[in-house]
Amino acid sequence: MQEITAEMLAGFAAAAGIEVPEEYRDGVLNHLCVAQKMAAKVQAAPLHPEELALAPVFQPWTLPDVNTHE
Amino acid sequence: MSDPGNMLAADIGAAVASRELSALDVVQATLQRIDDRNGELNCYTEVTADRALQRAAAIDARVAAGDAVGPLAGVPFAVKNLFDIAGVTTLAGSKICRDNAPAVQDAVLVRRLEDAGAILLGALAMGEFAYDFTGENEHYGACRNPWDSRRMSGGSSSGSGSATAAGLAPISLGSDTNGSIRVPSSLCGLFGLKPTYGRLPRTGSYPFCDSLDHLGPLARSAGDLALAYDCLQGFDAGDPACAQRPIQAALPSLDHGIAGLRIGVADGYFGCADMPEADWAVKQVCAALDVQRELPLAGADAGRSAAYLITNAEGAELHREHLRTRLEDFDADTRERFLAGALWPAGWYLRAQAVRRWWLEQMLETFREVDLVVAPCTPCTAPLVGTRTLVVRGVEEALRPNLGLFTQPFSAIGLPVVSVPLLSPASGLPIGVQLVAPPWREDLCLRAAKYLQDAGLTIKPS
Repeated sequence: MQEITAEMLAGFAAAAGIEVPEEYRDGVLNHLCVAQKMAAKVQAAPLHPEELALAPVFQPWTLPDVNTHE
Repeated sequence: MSDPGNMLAADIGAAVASRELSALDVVQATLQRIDDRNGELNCYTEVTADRALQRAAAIDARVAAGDAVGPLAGVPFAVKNLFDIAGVTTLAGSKICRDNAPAVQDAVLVRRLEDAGAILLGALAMGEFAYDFTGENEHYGACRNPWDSRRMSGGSSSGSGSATAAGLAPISLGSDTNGSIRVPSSLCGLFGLKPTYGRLPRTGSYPFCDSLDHLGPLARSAGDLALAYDCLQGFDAGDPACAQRPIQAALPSLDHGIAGLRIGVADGYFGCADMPEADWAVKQVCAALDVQRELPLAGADAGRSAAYLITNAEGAELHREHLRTRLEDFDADTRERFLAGALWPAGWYLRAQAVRRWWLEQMLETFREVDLVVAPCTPCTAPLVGTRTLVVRGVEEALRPNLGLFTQPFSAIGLPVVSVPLLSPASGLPIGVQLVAPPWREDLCLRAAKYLQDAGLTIKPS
């Protein structure tokens, strides 16, 4: 991934319809770069390439031989 | 009369039920204690004294009439100010919510504690919109640590940690999205429970990140924690994520010890050899629990990253309109993070949700081999208020996100965790250790916590 730049931030903000005042841009850019690093880590996790099982409303499940009160 | 500030909730409940103490005396003494200490600690943002005194008189009348009172009869408690309290504006630590109308009814968990006889004393400080691990707050000032008021309480359930540790509420309720019950429990020397995701209903609480928000109790003993937890359990349809499961009381097995439990220690990502106080605490707990197995938990780093991204995106989406219309009213420590979360690509969020599922599958495989996992809670004891950085593995990093370095991976996948408090001999300050169990096995975390308390390893309640 290309590192996020100030120009990209301006594009993201325009597309989202959110104004980022100049005094906050360096801070926002810094947080975007942190998020990008986190994104690189989740992209690198070896999930099955043809599965996209999400957990939008998430209830932990279990396995038959894990000790629960079931 | 014993000073209620030094009494455990279970002892107050028993004493009130047997008329050794009156609920009114307990409440009046605790209100006086709040008056004495809240100026220094800044942990209460609202004291509901009139309500508490009326409630105490009603409890005493029921006891006098021979009516049944619950196990928490006369026990004072307080809640993070994201819980609705009838007649009080729910602040969620923010300036923005100050303009909202007062809540019309209590949150479900407030009602449940009162149904058990407990008495609400008020609302507690928190980091803005729960996006915090420090206890600092630009609008309301820093919440202070009772062990040393120059130091952070931890957050975002900062007032919960500070008030309960100071004896200003034997039980408090907090929320934990990434560690916000466990971090203040660690820094303030408390037992804190983050239950399984979906176990306790969030009905009537201000959200942060729906995928990861949990509510739970903090207390000064494992017994009080289990007692409160048992009173809080039960389905409520007001929270779409609340699981329709039976109440599984933890108290009946609390004293069963650790015989038969297979316990491992988290390694790899959780290694803390360069964090001496955290490392000491984990080793103490492992020795007491006779832990023999080291668990690599290879997915933890990706799991933590997933939690970071999901929190950032969902939190920002919740406040999207505020970011457009009231940007200057945010705390400086949350404003730019929320802005960033509103801007980055949706694909990162989707991948994070998929990784979360993958990481839970890994942990479930681990739980085929062990019943409990021991892990550090915070990398350090309470930093001084105003500290901005922390050295993590030789690199100077921002303090704020890294106080949750070890808590985030487990809340990311909804596992139940109890943080147990030890006293570091190096600093004379508390530091916690996490006990992590498979989904729905809060009872195992609590059993091990009680075992460690009985073994004299944890901080003594008084």
